[in-house]
Amino acid sequence: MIEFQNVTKKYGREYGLNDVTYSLEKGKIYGLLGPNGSGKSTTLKLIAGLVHPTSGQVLVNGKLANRKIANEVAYLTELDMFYQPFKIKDMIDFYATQFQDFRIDRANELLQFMKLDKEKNIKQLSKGNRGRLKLVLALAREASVLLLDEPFSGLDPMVRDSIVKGLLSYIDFDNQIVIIATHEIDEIEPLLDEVLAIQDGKIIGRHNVEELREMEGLSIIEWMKRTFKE
Amino acid sequence: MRAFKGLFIKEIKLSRNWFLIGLALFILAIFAGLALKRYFNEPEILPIVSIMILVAHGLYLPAFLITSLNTEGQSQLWLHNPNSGVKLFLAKLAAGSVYFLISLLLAMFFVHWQVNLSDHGGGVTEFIEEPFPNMMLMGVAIVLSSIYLGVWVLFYWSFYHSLKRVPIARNFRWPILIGFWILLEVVSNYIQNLPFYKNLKQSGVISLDFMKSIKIEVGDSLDTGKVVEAAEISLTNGIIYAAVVILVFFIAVWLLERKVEV
Repeated sequence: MIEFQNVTKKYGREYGLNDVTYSLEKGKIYGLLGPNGSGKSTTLKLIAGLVHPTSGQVLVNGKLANRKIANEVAYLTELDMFYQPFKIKDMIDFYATQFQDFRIDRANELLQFMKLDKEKNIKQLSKGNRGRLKLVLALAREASVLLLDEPFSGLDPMVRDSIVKGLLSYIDFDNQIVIIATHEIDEIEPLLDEVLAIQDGKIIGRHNVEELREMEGLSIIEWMKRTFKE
Repeated sequence: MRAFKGLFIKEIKLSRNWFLIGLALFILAIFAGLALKRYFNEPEILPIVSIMILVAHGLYLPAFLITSLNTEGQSQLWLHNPNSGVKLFLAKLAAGSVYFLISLLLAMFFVHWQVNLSDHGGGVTEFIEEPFPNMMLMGVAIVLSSIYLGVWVLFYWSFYHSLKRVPIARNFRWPILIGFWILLEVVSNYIQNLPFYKNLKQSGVISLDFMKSIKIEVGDSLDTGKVVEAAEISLTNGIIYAAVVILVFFIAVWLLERKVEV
């Protein structure tokens, strides 16, 4: 379980998050939706313990989120997270030594699934293959929390498709909390259990996706348009 | 241990090019020395260059750490790692030390060779007796200085990145760092001039007789007397410096864990 308790994160005079309180349960896939600068990345970094709240606290499985929470949280960032002189296999080996829950057999399976060659140098990889490799590194872990920050950013439809398939095949739907922060909703709409709309550091809406469809007859995009207009 | 080994191997792989560039510069300096020696027809240029290369090794580890930390600082994603800051920093220190020691040993062999050659010709720099312990002691002094400076690099790097969190300080991080360094220098000079500290330094002094045999002779103008008259090492001073290094290291780790953000 992830809990935000009156969390405020300020960057100078700007609010990254502004007095936010909510919780996220295991076994669900959440979509964190919002415009640029709304607080999506800050939310994920707070959960990953990579930034610290100005006030309030973030708890992951009952533990205060600090840098050590990386033991329980797999974080895929929008940025490149590779060491350029490495080969793919070097990155895999490095992750295997750093994260106890990293499964090399699973990583190899994922590499095959994503059609990535272990012997390739990272600097030779296309943007799409870098995106695929990031997902391999995140999904090869048996972490209880999986954070994906803009996993489709700048990727072509083929890569997006392989990422969604990868998520469908390798997420532990019963035990993991998955949070996907994104603009691109089309691809992930079928995956999501709940959506949270975030704007100016505040959660301005939260809905169960199935209820949204059945009770209100809205797709996520329609709901987003309505929520952000308000 | 597995995590540390992984971090260490990562650092070794990432810094291999850096090490090779260092060696290339080393060789380039030797060739430059050779060229100058021929141009000026002055055989003593090469031993002087070799000693300069050796002394410059004092900055090897700090330079290595600055480069390595700057690479990580581009994304700071190395901090998405459950292992302690101690391990993250120690792996960098250890990998840097491996390259540093290899380079230093090569430099020491070169200096030894050049000074010995110079010896036969009655040159600028001579080791009258016991050249080996002299060289070793010089090497140890360079290693310790480099580690000392390296740990301060870790501290200032963490301090610099911690200041990002402080809105007022964010745009003035360099002046704050320089101001802090000046303040530390003033405080440290004040403490070192206290009679209490001077007395403390006098306890546990070891005299190094063989060091007194170093003779540095410049042309005919300087007498060939012993230049190093009193080679002494204060153990208490050494312990104080070691304590300072350990303290600074753990402050750097604390800042990394608690204040540095991605």
